[in-house]
Amino acid sequence: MDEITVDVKNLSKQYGNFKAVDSISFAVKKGEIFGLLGPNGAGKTTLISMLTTLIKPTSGHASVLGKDIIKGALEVRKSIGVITEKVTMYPPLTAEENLMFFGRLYGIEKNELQKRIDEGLEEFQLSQFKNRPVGTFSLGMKRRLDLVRVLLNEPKVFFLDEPTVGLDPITVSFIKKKIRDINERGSTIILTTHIMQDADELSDRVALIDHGHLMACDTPKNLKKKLGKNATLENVFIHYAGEELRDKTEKMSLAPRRGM
Amino acid sequence: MVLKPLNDAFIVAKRDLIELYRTPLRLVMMFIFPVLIIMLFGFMFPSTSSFNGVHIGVVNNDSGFNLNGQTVYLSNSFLSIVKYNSTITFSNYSSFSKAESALRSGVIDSIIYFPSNFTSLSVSGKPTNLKLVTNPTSPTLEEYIDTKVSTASTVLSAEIINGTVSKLNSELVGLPKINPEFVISPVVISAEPIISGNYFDFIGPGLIMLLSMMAGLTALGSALSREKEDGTITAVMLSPIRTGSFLTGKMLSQLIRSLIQSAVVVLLVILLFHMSFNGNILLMAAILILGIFGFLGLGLLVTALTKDQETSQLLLNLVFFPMLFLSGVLYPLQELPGVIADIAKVLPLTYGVQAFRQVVVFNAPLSSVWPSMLILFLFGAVSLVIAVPIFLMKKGSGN
Repeated sequence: MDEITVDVKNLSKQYGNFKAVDSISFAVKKGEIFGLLGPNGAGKTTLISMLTTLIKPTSGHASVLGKDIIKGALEVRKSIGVITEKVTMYPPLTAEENLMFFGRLYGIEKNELQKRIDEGLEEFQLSQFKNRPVGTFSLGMKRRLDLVRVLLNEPKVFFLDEPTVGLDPITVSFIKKKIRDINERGSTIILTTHIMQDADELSDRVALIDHGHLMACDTPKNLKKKLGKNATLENVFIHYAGEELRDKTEKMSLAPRRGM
Repeated sequence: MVLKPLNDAFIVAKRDLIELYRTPLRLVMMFIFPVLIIMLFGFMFPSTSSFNGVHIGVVNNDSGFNLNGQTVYLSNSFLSIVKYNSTITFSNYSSFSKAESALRSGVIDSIIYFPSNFTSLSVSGKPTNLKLVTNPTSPTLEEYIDTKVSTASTVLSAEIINGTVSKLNSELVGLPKINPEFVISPVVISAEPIISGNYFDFIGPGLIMLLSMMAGLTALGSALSREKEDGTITAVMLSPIRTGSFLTGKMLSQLIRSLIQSAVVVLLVILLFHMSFNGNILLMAAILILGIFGFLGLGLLVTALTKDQETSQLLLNLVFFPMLFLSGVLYPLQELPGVIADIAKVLPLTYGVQAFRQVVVFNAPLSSVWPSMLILFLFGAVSLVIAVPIFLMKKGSGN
C-alpha cells in the first residue's frame, strides 16, 4: 500500500452560516503531484490554509506526514513548504537578507543556511541579485526567490497556490520544470491552479472542489475518459462546476448581508 | 530547544531593525516628527515669559501743569515707566474713537487714555485717573499689559508716598520716624523657586512622554499593518514560530527604535532649550520604556480591529488627541475643569507624564513614583491580554 502523506477526513470550515469547506475527505500519497481545482470561491484557499495550519478547522481532522494539523501545528510547519498567491518577501530587504531571516526561523544553523542560500540562488539563477532589495525585483524574480525560500528547510510536502499566475511563458516553463524536479527528488506536491493545461500536465491526480464540496477525485486521464474520447480537463471542470459565472467573492460571502 | 521562542523573537526584532536601516525615508520620518514637535513647543513657549511686538495706542489729552514757567506732563513719565525694560511700542491717536477702531481692527493691542486733568489733579494732591482698554479675547496678553500699567501706577505712588513721608518725618518731633517703605508695602514677600526652571521644564518631560506613547501606539500598528498588506505575515506564520515570539520580537524592535528616538529628543532639548535632567538615568529610562510598553496593547487592538493602515491611523488620532490635551502634557491638571479633570485621572498617560516629570525635574526617587509606573505597566499588560487574542482571531479569519 502507498504511504499517505496528507490525510484529510471530513474537514469543514464554517464562517457564520457559510460553509467554506464542507466535510471534505481525501488522501494524498507520498511522491504525488496532487492538483486542487475549482472555481473562484470554491474553498481551495480555505482548505490549503487549514492544511498549512494558518486557520483552524471547524470540525474534522487532517494530518500532514502523520502530524495532526492542530495539535502538531509547529511540527507540520517544520516539514512543509508553502507558496501563497501573494509573494511574501520584505521589499526593503535584500534577497539574501530575506532568505537569511526565513531560514533562521526554521532553526537552520548559520553556515549550513548560508550554503543552502548560495545553492538555491544559483539553482534559480538569482545569485547576481542577492544583494538587491526584493522591492526592485520583477514578479518572475520574486516567484523564483519564493521557491528558493521554501526549499531552504528541505520540506517533504509542498503546497503551491497558483505558483505561475501572472508570469511570462519563459518563467512559467522554468517554474513547471522546477516543480517536476522537486517532485522527482521525492517530495509530495499539492498544487492549486486555474490553468487546466498545467494541472493536466503536472498532476498525477486532481481533486475538483466546488461550493466547499469534493466533486471528483481521480487521475486527469480517468476524469477525461468519463466524458468522452476528446474531452479536455477544461471540459471536466465545466462538467462539474457548471457554466454559471461566479461573481460572488469569498470575502463577500463572508460579510454580513445588509438590507436583505 | 527551550530557547527557540526567545531566539525567534530576536530574529524578528533584528529583521525589523535591518528593514528600518534599509528605508532611509522611514528613518528620517522617525526623527522628523518628534523633533518638529519639540521645536514647535520649545519656541512657542520660550523659557522667559515675555511678549514681543506689543503695541499700545495712546490718546493723550493731558494738558500738563505749569511749573515755574515750564509745562510738565506726568503722562509722559507714566508711559516711560510702562515701557521700562520691555519692547512695548506706543502710537498716538488724536481721539478715543480713532484708537478704538484701531483696536477693533487689530492694529494695536490696547488703549491708554489720559484725561486733560491727569497732571494737574495729581499735582494738587488729588487722585488722578486714566482709562485702560484691553482685548479680553487674548487673556495672557491682556494680563501682561494690565500688569505693566499697574506696576507703573505703583511706582508712581511710591514716589509720591516717599516725598510725603519725608516731609511728614521732618515735622514729627520726639516720635519714631516712619520708614516710607513700610507705607508702600508693609509685608515684604520673598518668593523663591524650588529649582531653577522654566515652562519648558514643565512641558519638556511631558512631550518626551507623549512621544514615547505615540511610539508605543503606532509601533505594532504600522509594523503589523504593513506585514498584513505585504502578505509577509502569512509567510512568517507558515514557519515554525510561535505567534508570541513573533509579537515579542515586534515589540522588542519597536522598543529599541523608540528608545533611540527618545535619546535624540533628549539630546535636542538639552542642547537647544537647556533643559536639565536631574533624575536617575535608569529610572528615567525605565519610565520611558513603560510609557512605550503601556500603549503597545492599545495600538495592537486598533490594528486588529481595522482593515488597513488608513483606518487605524484615524482611530489612533482619536486616542492621541484627548491624551495630548488631557494628560497634563501642556498645562497642569489643576487648570482642568471638574469633569475633564476626572477624565484625566483615568488616562494612563497622565501617570506617565506625572512620574517622568517628577523624576526629570525634581529627581524624585523610585519610592515616590512607583505607583504611577505600576499603573502604566498594568494598563499595558491588561490591554495586551485583551488585544493579543483578538489579533490572533482576526488573523485566523483573514484570508
